[in-house]
Amino acid sequence: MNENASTIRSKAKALLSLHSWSGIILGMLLYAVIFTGTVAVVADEIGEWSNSNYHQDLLLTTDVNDTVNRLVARTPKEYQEEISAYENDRQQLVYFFHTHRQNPSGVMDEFGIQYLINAKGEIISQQEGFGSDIYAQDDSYALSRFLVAIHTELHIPSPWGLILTGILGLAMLIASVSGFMMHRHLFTDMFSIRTQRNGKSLKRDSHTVAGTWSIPFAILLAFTGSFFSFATAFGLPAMAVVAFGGDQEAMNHTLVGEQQHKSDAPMASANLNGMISDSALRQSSVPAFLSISHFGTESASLLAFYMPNKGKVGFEQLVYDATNGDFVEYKPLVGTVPSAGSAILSLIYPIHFGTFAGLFSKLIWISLGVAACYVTITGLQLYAHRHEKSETSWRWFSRMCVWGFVGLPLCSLSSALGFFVSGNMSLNQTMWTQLSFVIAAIVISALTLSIKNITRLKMLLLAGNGVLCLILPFLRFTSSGIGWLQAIQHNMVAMMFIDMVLLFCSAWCFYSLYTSAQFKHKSVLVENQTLNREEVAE
Amino acid sequence: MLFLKNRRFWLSGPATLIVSLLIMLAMAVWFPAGAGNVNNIMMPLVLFPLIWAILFFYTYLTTNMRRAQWLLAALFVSNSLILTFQFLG
Repeated sequence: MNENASTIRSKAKALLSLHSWSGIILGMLLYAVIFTGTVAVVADEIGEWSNSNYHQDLLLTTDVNDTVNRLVARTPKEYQEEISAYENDRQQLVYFFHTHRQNPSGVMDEFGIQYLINAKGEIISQQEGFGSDIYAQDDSYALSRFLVAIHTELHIPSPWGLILTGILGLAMLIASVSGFMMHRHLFTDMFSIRTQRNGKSLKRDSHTVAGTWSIPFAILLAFTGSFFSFATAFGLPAMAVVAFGGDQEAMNHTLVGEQQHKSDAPMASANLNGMISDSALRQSSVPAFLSISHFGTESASLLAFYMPNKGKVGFEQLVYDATNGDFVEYKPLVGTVPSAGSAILSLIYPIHFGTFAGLFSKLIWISLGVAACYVTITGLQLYAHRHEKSETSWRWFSRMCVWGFVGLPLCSLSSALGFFVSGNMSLNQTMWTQLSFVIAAIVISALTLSIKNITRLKMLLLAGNGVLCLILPFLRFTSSGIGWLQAIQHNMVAMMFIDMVLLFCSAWCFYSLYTSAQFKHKSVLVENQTLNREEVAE
Repeated sequence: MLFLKNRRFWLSGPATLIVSLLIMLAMAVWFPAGAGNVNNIMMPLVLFPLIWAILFFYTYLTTNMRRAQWLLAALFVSNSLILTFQFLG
């Protein structure tokens, strides 16, 4: 019996040590990934907000068939292998005529000509190059792309960034599973927050409560996140080596589910508009993008991709025979026929990004993301509290916590500031979005090193966050001229949502500053009263 | 740097990672491809974090280190053999 109890105790101790160290060693990077992941949940909404855009459903309302035929006439034959089309966040249709080639990094990539077409069907611009390069320079996605890339790769060159975020995913898995296994009273821990003498809640209890509620969410996200990172970084190339003798193209064909050799014999394609309308009718929605393969040949096909809608969790892909316009099948995400692998894959994305029930599920995911951020913050603060006894010393760890926890949101907001200001000045928004983040990081680091009082530093950074959260909606309004009345008229939910979130965050920052100031004022009063009493006693 | 002398560190750290990677790669050979011909590629990738987590927590919490060592060794040898046959056979 005693031996049993001692084994349980030693295991609990080992779990606590594992939980602490997995959090402490990678805690700050984990916070960066969780925070930007919470932001990435609404990346599409941020894209629309940053451009004050509302989708005009151009794939349905414009003559896609006519545009494709006009563009085919002016595009080299080699790029007509595949045409992708989607509506961007600036009310334009993007048509990318491309073939597939290895890019300078040795990765298979799309290469061709991208056309930007306005609602009237006029060509605004055209650009030739690799798909990854063209996308990386696209100003309309500059802000959302930048924030998402912090989450996925921490802006570290591929594949190292992906490997690091994969390791962080595993660290999160360790921290959450060990946190779960450590609990002896799981249900009690979900509700009990004790208070200290000064009325403030006990930090350890807050950490436990927030952690307990977000454990299932953290495990799910850690698992799916590490899958995304590792699969992209080395999993798929390694699978190509083992299962396809190193032939990545053959593996891509198997995964995409298409024949390797297609007939290039010319044959007039059916009207694309009919296929798009039919798919929209079947889905009661608008396609997110189209992929037209081998247009004008015997092998012509059209694939319409739909985001999850109305009670469905996964994506939908509808395939049409573009030679006669007939509907062929609902294509699985990978392979040619439904399979367990495809079903799991089609579930992983909606689970990771919370896209399965629109804005409602995204709101829940954001809330749980904030809870996970809070758990990381309080976990590291607990460590700092326990190990930094002296109140007067430099307190490196606490200082680093303030720098990271309050500084990262401020840097992200600064990148949005850079996006709008550079847009208004007709500068390169992609470059200035990144540069603003770096400038803010340098300024915050300098402040962290120069301001001795940590509380003052925290309040200053919090004030910066509050001010930027307040400014950004106005800056967006001045740069686009689209206000809330117009937003309501055009049902611009995404834009209003981000505006409201920013204003809410601003109010929260100023409220936190107010309560901190009140607390400080009360502490000074209590201290003065104690001193007075001591003087009277003397 | 004391942890470098700890046998459990090497078992739960590098050894577990290498064995998990080998299991993932070998699964591409023995896992049924299914009608869609993709299960042997997708399932190992999806299961990799799970395999790693199970092996990690087992090797970290076990009191019988010798058994954990033998288990990892057996998994290492069997999966290496599968991969060797795949490349040479």
